Amino acid sequence: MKIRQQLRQQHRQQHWLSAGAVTLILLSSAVHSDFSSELRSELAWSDAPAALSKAELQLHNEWQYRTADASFNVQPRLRADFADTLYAEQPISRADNYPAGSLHSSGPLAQWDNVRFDIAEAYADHTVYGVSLRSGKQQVVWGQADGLRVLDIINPQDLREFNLPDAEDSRIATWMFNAHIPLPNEQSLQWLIIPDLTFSELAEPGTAFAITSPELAPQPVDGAAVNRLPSRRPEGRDWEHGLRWSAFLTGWDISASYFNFYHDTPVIYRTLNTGGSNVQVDVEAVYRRSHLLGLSASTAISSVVLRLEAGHTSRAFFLRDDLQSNGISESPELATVTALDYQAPADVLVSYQFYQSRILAYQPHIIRREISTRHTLLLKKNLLNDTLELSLFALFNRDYNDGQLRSKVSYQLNDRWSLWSGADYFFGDHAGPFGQFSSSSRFLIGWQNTF
Amino acid sequence: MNTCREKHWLLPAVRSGIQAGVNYPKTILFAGILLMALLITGLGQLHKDTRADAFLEAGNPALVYKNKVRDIFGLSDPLIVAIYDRSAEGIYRKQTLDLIGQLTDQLNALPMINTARTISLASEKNIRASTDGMDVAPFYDLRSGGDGAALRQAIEDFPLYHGMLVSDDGAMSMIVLELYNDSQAESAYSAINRLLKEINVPADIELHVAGEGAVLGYLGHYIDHDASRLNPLAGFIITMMLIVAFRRLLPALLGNLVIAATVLMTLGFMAYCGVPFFVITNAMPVILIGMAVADSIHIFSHYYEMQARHPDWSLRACIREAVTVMARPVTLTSLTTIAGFLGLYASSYMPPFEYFGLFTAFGVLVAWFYSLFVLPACITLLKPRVSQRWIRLEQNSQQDTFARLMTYVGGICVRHPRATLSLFALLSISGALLATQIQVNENRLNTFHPSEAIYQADKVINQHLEGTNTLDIVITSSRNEGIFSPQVLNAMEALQAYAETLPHVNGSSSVVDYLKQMNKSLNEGQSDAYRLPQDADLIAQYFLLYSASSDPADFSEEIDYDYRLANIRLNLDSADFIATKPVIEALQQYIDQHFNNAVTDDPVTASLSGRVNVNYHWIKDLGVSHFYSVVISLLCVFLVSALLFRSWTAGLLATLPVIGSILTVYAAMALLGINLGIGTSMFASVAIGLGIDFAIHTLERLKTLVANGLKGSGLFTELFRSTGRALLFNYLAIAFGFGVLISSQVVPLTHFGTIVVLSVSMSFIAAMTLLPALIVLWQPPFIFGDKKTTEDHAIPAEQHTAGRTVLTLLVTTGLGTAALYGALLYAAVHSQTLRAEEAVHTETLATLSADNIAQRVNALDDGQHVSSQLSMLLTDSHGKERRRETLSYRKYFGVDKKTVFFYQSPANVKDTAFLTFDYAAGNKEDDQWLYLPALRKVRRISASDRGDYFMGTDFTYEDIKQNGRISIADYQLQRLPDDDGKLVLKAIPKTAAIAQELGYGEVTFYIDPKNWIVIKSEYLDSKQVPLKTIYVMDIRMIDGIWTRHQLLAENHISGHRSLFIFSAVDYQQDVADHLFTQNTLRRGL
Repeated sequence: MKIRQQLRQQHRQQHWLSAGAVTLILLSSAVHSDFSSELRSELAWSDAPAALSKAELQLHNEWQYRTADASFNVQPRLRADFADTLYAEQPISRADNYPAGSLHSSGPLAQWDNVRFDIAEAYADHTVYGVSLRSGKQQVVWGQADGLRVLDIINPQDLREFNLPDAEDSRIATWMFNAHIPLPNEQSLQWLIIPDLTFSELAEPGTAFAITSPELAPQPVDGAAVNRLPSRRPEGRDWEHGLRWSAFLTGWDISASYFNFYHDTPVIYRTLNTGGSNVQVDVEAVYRRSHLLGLSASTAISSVVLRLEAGHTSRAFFLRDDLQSNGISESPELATVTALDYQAPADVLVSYQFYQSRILAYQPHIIRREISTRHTLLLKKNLLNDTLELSLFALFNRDYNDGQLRSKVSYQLNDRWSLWSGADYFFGDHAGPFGQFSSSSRFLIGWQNTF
Repeated sequence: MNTCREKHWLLPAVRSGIQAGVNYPKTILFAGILLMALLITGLGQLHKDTRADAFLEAGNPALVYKNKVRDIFGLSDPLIVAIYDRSAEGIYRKQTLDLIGQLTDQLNALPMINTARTISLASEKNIRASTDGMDVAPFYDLRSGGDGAALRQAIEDFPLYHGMLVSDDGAMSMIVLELYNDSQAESAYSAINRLLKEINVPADIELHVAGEGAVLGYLGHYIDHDASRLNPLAGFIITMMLIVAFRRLLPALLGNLVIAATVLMTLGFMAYCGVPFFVITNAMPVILIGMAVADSIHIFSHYYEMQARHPDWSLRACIREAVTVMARPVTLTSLTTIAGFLGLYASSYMPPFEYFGLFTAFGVLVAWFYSLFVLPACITLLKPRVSQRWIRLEQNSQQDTFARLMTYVGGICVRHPRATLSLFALLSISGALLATQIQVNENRLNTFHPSEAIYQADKVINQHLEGTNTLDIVITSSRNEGIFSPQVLNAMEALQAYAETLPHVNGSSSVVDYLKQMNKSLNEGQSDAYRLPQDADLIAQYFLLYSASSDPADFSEEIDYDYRLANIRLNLDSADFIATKPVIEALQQYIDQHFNNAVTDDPVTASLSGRVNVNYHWIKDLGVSHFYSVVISLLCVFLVSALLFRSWTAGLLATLPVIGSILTVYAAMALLGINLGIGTSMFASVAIGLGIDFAIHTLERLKTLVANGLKGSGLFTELFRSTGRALLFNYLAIAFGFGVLISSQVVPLTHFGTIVVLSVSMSFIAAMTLLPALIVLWQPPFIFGDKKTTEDHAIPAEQHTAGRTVLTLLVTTGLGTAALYGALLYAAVHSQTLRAEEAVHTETLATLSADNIAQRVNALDDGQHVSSQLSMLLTDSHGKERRRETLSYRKYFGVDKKTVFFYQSPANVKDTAFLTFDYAAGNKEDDQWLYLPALRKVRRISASDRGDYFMGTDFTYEDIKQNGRISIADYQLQRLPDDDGKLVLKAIPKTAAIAQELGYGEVTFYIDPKNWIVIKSEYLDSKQVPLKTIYVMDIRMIDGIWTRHQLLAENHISGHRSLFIFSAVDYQQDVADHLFTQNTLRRGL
């Protein structure tokens, strides 16, 4: 179903949203409120073909109001991309990643060809008997790793620009109830109930970052037509929930977590249908539930910060190179990240991460390797009293010998204006999750104004 | 299979609750493991506090005063390095003098040593006559001739140092070291020992390390080391006992599970509550091991008995029966034991004892839960089977050796109840009489085994020099320069002379000795001129003359900078309480007669202080505290037993064996010459806590057996055969467990182990002999029903003994309480006379040393907590400005400090937050976190790069952390000439590594003496190029605290400037603890 159709169907739901907005405005006039905005633009040119691949303008507002014992935060956001290669709604566009019944609140409030308006976040904070509660649409981050998602899977992602946007922009905030219960001696429990089953938004086929790697997207079967069945979202009122214990013990930040969740990307089942006159493959995307048990730890040892993260997913789904078991093998998966941040002299940060994931019940026809290994390296230097920042990020995926290199120079002109320029370069085997975008390497410039 | 006795005490709901472990084994096991995991996580937070000061409340006047004196005179518990030369020439031969010089230099180079306070032959100065009047020059200058003869002569001519710095026979000299911070004692002690090991010394020279600083430094490590050896050994022995008792491995393993849960959870809970691990806490694990294993033995014993007796029952039915039957006695013993330890808590006034009572009571509760619920759950799941031997014995109605032994011994007593009673009465009366001979004594040095180097060092040093123990007397005049008064000085001299007549006081030092030496040197060195000048002006001139020849700060340990306070330090060769008590009391009496307004027209007071005085204050009440504890614990145990059996007789019967065992222990202590000290005073609570269990089990079992219809000799045969056997193993496990302590290297623990084994043995024997004998004679209704007893004539003798004991204890307690309040009142009155005004007079500032000034700066009050708004205005060399608005909060948590900054604007840094934990312990690095809103993550950041700039400003992380203080540990300080009324200090990093870390090669601090705030600091980089200058402006008093409202840092190399403007500074409004958490960083304010 097209987003616009859904929006029309849910026209009536706008009434309560409007009423809510008016209430908030009234509230804000009565109590202390704070309004800030950020206008940002980024232009990117890809090399093959040489063309403007991104021309984004984003207005992100934040409205905060406080009463004596609570605070509210609403962040309306308007985004537009005029290059027509990233966000443009294509004819086959589907929005099954958003819950059909609450598209407005979970997904965009309004969408035109190149423009989308949504509520990035909207939540209320208050404290009851020492327990701090945050209820509403929000982002929650677990884990210690940067950019490698092992425990940081509470929120789905906007993958229309793959992993290139900042983490804050790529996470899709979801509606949830988030309670933080302090315990004695620097310990705490965090309890999440997430009724909002929004999933990751994937790049549309044909756009610059549409996934084509055989490891992630099923490949056509020779001589068989594809019959795309409607996606199957969880039925009924199904919720995600999680619990995390964190502590600061003898200089270590440690946490243990449990998350009962749906995978944010659907499992693509393929069934060979030879019943009719033609041989066809029925393709059905189904969202699947799983459990994640996680551990994380970090500590500072002299100039080095050690970060560790491990996650055990009870049910992970992997594409097979045949159609047995509907083209999918299910197995538990164990992923770990070991990271070292070294604060070198002269304000240089060197951060290295080693990621490894193991399919615990590996079967020969699974396309992904049994052990998947990635390395990342970040070099960052601040100059001129933190106004100029140089960074270089390299990711190397050992499975396909592919990866990405990203460099960025950003300069803070003054309190309001900042400028940046950078290059994102993908390399390696086209079959690899990074190499598949080797034609999407790009050069970019951007600016941001806050007011 | 429910027995009839359940009907009248176990309601169905309670019974079902009691059997939860059997009915829901997995749930209970899971709950047990979860609870254990939850509490054990606290263990990481457990911290040691082995200080003697920990025995007093932080607000105790003696302690408060001692710390105040320490601040005024910079005195601390010294570490003493002694050089003992056995050669004929003694320490005056060249190679030994070289060694002393070399050692002094190397020791001073240790970062934790407060170099300015080191006293050594190599650094002290001689005062002698010169053509100009007075010449003050280092003693070592006299070595130019190569031999030590001149030096020997100089020392012998300087009575103060003769005997104190160098022994009278010239065989020993000492180097006295003080630390910047007592928390570094452990690292200092090990660093000094490492250094001494590395030095090659001739065979006839010995090096020793001693002193209270060394005791403090080594005690924690020593006790830890001992405990790490003893606890596993106790666990092993108890395991072996369990294997022997049940001839199976599983009971031993499960018994250890209960032990582990009890000990670890209790310690974990202590840690959660922020209670430290004191010296006496070492006894707690061993006690809890004993408690935990006893309960397990009873459950297992009955479970196996049921299996053997009823082969047709399922294993689950057996454990259900065992739990049902044992629930009551296990609960009863736990409750009485808890009552005993709560009694200790209620009656103690010293924090370590209070916590000991409270947390051991908690541990008993844990042991109860794990024995009665988790252990049956494990048994239900694992289904251990009884040994065939046990079944054979049971089926043939036979008894094993242990059961036969118990039946035989018990049988004799039951047959001869009067003789048994008479024997115990005799023992108790002897114990009560001998108890009066027990001596209260304590000496922390005696904690160490006599073979320990520190113990031997102390003995050797005390033989040759004046002593390793210090007692201070602070003389306070009401006006500045009051100490110059000859009357005051004469009174001080007389006090010193009197003190030196007291036993164990071998020497004293004060400004009087220096003045006498100055007088002598200005009178051409004539011996009869070694006396005090009798003219105040002359005395003032002497000081002036001295300051012209040397550093006036040389007297900082003897006199304060405005000559209003003076300190007399006495050296004692013993720290034994029995040795120091008469000294303190005699001195106090002398002071009351001769000081405190009796000296001159000006009120002059004298007050005792120092380590020996503080120890006196907490040890003097040890005896009283001990007797209080015994009486209250016995009372609690009596009341709880009486309540549980609903009979006063039962309360008395349960308590009597314990009273008997305590009196026996007193007798043994008196006979063996064991003093009542910190370690040994604990025995009574343990004896009561453990001993009561035997009596309760015996009474409970008898009650059950009578209810089951047994009577006559069969009743007691059954008692000895079943419960007697279980109690025997219970006793053996405890006795062997505590017996391990006898092998401890920590001497008080050895004594403690000995007397606890003795008391538990007595409790067990009494419960198995005296108690049945009493019951035979008494026929108490709570066991036998309402039948009137006819033979109660044996009781009065025991009641009489008990009555006398109680009377004695009450009288002692009453007197002790009066003494306690008297002492507290006395100390309070005296401390009031010393509320010294801290006004500074310009004329005396000149005498302050660099370190004194830095200490004054660092001693400035910065409030327990503060909140403020901070605007940061950052300007680059082109005049381009950035502005950040933050809210900052700081709060002390104990001695550690937590600080947090929340960025409010501009939008590009909004919600960024920075949190730091700044630890007082010098060797512990800070912990820091940064919340970056773009990542939505709290990032741990390394704190070692303290020279890095803070968030793009020109202040380094170290500048922010020091918050206007001067780090004495990092810098070698030197005083420069004053600049426009401001005191000027040059600070040079002590090592190249520190310089590199800080990024500074040299700093010059300008201090305003009006408020002791550093108003300007100039920084040079490592190449001595001007790097930056920090100015402090707009200094105002807020809530009584001098507060800096503007800080400006100018970077001379980049031209960048950072101006910090503080507003809305508030020291009053409470700052919530939760602000300093990662969650608040994430969520914002």
